[in-house]
Amino acid sequence: MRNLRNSIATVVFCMLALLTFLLFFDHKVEIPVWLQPVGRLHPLVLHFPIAIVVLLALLEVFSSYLERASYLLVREFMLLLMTFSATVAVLMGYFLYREGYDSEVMFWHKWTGVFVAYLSYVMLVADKALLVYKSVLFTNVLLVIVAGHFGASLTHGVDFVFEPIRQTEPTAYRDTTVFAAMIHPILESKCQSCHNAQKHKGGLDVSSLEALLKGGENGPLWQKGNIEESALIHRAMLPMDHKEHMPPEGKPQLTDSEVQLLKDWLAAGANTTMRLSEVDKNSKLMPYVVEHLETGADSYDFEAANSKVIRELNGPYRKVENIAPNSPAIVASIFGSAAFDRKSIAELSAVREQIVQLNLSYLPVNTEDLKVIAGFTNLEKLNLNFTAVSNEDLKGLQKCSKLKALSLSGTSVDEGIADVLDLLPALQRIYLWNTSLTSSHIEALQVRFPALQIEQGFQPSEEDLLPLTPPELASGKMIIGSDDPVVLTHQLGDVDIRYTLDQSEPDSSSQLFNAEQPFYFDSVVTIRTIAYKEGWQPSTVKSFQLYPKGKTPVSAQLQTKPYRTFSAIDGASLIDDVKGQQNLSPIAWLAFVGEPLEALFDFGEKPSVIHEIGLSYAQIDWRRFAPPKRVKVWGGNQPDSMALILDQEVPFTREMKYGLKVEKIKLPKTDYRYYKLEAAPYSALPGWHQHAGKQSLVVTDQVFFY
Amino acid sequence: MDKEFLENRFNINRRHFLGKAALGLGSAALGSLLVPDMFSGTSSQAEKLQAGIRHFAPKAKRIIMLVQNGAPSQLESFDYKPLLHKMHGQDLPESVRDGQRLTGMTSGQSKFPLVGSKFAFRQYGQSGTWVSELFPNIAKITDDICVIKSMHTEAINHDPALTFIQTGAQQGNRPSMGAWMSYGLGSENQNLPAFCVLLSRGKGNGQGVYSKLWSNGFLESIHQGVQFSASEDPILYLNNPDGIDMKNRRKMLDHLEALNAQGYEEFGDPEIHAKIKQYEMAYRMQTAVPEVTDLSKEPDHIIKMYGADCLTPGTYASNCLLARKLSESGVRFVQLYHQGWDQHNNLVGEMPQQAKDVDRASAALVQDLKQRGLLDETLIIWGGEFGRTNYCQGKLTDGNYGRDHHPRCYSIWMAGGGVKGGITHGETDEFGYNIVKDPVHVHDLQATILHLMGLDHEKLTYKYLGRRFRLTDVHGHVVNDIIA
Repeated sequence: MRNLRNSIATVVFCMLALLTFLLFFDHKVEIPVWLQPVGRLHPLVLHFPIAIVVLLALLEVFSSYLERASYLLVREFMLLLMTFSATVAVLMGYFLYREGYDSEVMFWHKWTGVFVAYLSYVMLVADKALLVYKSVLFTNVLLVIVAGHFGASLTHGVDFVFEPIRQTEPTAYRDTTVFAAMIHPILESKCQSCHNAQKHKGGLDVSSLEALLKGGENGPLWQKGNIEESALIHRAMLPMDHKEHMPPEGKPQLTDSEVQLLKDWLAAGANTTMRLSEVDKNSKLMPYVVEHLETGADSYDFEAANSKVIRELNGPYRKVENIAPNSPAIVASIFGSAAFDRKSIAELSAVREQIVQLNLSYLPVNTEDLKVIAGFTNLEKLNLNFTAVSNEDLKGLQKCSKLKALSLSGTSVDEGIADVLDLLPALQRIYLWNTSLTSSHIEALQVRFPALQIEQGFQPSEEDLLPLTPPELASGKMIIGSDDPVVLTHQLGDVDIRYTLDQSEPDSSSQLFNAEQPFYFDSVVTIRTIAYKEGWQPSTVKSFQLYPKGKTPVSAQLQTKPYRTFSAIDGASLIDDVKGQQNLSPIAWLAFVGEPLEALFDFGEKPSVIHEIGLSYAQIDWRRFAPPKRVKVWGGNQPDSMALILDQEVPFTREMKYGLKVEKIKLPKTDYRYYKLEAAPYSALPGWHQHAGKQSLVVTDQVFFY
Repeated sequence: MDKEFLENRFNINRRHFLGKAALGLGSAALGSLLVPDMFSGTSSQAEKLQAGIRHFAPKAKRIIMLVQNGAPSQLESFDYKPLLHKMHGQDLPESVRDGQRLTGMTSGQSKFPLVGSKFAFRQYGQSGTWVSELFPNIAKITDDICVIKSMHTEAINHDPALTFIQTGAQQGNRPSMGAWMSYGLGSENQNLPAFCVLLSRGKGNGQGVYSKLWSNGFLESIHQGVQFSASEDPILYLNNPDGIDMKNRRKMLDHLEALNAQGYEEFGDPEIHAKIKQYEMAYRMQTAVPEVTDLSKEPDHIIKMYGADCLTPGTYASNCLLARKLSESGVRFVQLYHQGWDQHNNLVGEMPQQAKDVDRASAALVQDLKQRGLLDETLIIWGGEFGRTNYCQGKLTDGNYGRDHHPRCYSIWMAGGGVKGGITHGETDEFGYNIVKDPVHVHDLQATILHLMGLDHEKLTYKYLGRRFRLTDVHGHVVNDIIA
């Protein structure tokens, strides 16, 4: 131990002598290049002395708990280790420093570090004099902390520790220079970590414009008129593995768009004083500038709200967001009158200074709410369309001295609004459509407030008559039971609905439909209707074909598989009283090709007398939709023993090429529980047909029993 | 099972992995091996631009896109070409056609007889914008709209062209514009989908619309467009079934969420989260949708504005009215499709009908937003997927003609939302065949639309299958000239 101590003390002394020599002659001594890697290990080694010196201090604090002998042994060992590593670290630090660090922070880091080394040696030499040893030890701990802090500031930047909680994002406005708004931020984020006032590698410092213009060891960063050769661009464009490529491998690289922006800026003359607003419209920089000015939008002089507050104000029924990135201004909307809660407006007071746009349309906003809104002093645009506000309520808005646009469409405001407008001198636009204000009121307002843009909105003209839509069936159903009333309606109120039942064209003299006296049917009927209303043109004529419902089976089961195109629904769709539409939506229709339609109908425990069966089908020649070739009907009280009661061909009407038809076939009167229907398609369509010889499809939506 | 489990583990996204790996540096290091770009700078930059973060101040908050599906003829709507009347019936000079490929429908034609519009044009408004007599109501709002006569596209058939304008690619595996908007901006009103789709059909020759046009593509499925139907239930399966009340529904959803959360713990599939979010939104939509779709409280002269058929569900007019209500309630992107604009023949018979369907309601929508003070924050886009030829398809008869597909130029209009009103952008040659000034490619339009919404089309990306995808692919320039 003794020998080890002596040899380490000697080595440390020699190293300190070397250090002193170096410090004394400083820049007069040339550091060989091979020592640079050694210097760069400084950040690795320096942690040892820091840790050990702190441990030594702790050892001193707790020395009374320790056995004397082991305390001395441990202290001795750690002291040797600390002194040696501290001296090595400082020497390495000096080599690194000579690579090109020169700044105030560096000065302090250098000298505090050097004194740590000296004091460590003093500790080693004076460890027998306990008082001296202790005071030097604790001084050294403090010194190490200070030196460490300066060192960290060198590598991470001066503001490293508090940077995350400080808002440093600059906002680009018209008055900012192009350089400050667009160029410098790139250099700051990609170059400044190595080229700053503290650590200017290659003699370059990009932290300020003045330093930047000085350039580095190799001269200026750019040469006007020679963009590709300018160091700024040239170094970035070199291949990644090239020694001179910048930023060095492993560091965040310039993106293509950043390089392009730098190039465009250099090409535009590398003007460092030009403001964003001064950029020529045809300049290559203009697109960037447009983008940047957008970012700033209008400038506001109030502070931004805490982003946590904004986040918490957002919910399913309320949207609160900054108008643009970097802008303190806030846009807020509240939605959903059913879920509306008064508090949702009151809570916006948390950002009362920042709200510039507020949308409360369709909400039951009242006097109290407007008092809250009056506190939003920077409000510029307020949407109160279709709310319950009145003239009186709005007077509170006087405090919103920056209000530029106010939407009051669909509210109860009247000509008294003029008094409110008197209180809002900044107002530029007001929306008063769908209020009690008439055109003459608006004209009077316009005279009184000539600069104000008053939007009266659409006013229907008396001459411009629009056609009505035709009437509709209230139930929407085309299959109607004998007890179900048929009711015609129209979406507009006060419409005269006229109709005919005899296929003749309805007109203003036709029967007037009276909702109190609906009509009833028991056979197929065609209603033709037309609508009339004062101030409108009459509608077109619309026809409805209605089918009597007849007797409905309890169930219907398909015994053959429908063709895939229309197979959405099972047999139940044959008796569901839903008539398929002309557009053949697959929901109501079933199709059969090759195989016949076979369906079993069950009338349950109490069957009634059946004397007629109706099969509704679609005929479309070009799609091979045809009537069935043959219809067979069986009846019986057991599904497995039924008698054939009908076997008949169906006429194929050549005249009808497209349409829906109900084929009614008389049956002998029976009252069976079960009936089975078979309707077979053509295996070969007749010779006159455009698809002669091909298979036909039976496409059906409903089977009626009478 | 083990294999699936392992595969799912590899599917884990970075954020999720980090969340789980936060316990120790060791697991983070392992994470960097599994997810190679976990610590690279580019990826964290991409993260910064993700959902809900605008790139700059928006001009428009919401979009209503009125897609005239089938491609209305620009030569009978906004692009007035008197020369075609003078040269009526003469062959299109080869120098003008200049090798343009043709569709299979006219490639067999030996002659390409030029045909002038059967419908008269006039200039309207202070802007003097040319509009044909087919659109008398749109003619009244010319000072509020910006007509772009120099749109051009790459596709020559409906499906690829529609898919191209909606998703930025012709193939149909990418997210639609509305889905990008939902991804980039999130929803304004969380009780309604950020992206809604409304369909209607005119009597003219129609072309299909498919759900791929409002697909979320590779984005999370919450961004998919929600199609409203014209039936009693505007959104299918939204209402509670018989015997289930809101309280029961809430209880069921809470239990379901617990189960789903358990499933997520086990498999880590992010789609499970999307599912939970969708159920929650559907629950809130149960009250929000009836409020929005209820047209009964609309004042009487709204009906005179949009036309009486706005009360018939499923019509274009009714969809315009509904679009306004949805947009007013904070839906970011409402997309209407009106089918029936494909006039290969019988243009003279069909186009007036189609125009009648949309003219009044389209103009009403602009006016209606204006009178509520919402036009300046709502962008309206009206147009089809490509243009139509200046020559006749099939036989040119005295009374009638048809026009084939033409990708080289067509006209659309935009209004509100930061677009200059009362201007016409771009110009075609005298034949109405080629663009001579300020061409606007579909990608340019998309870039401009995103720009107006505060999004940089080059930065709104999503990494999928190893590359970053954009709505504008690697193209597109913002058309600054039309931005107010």
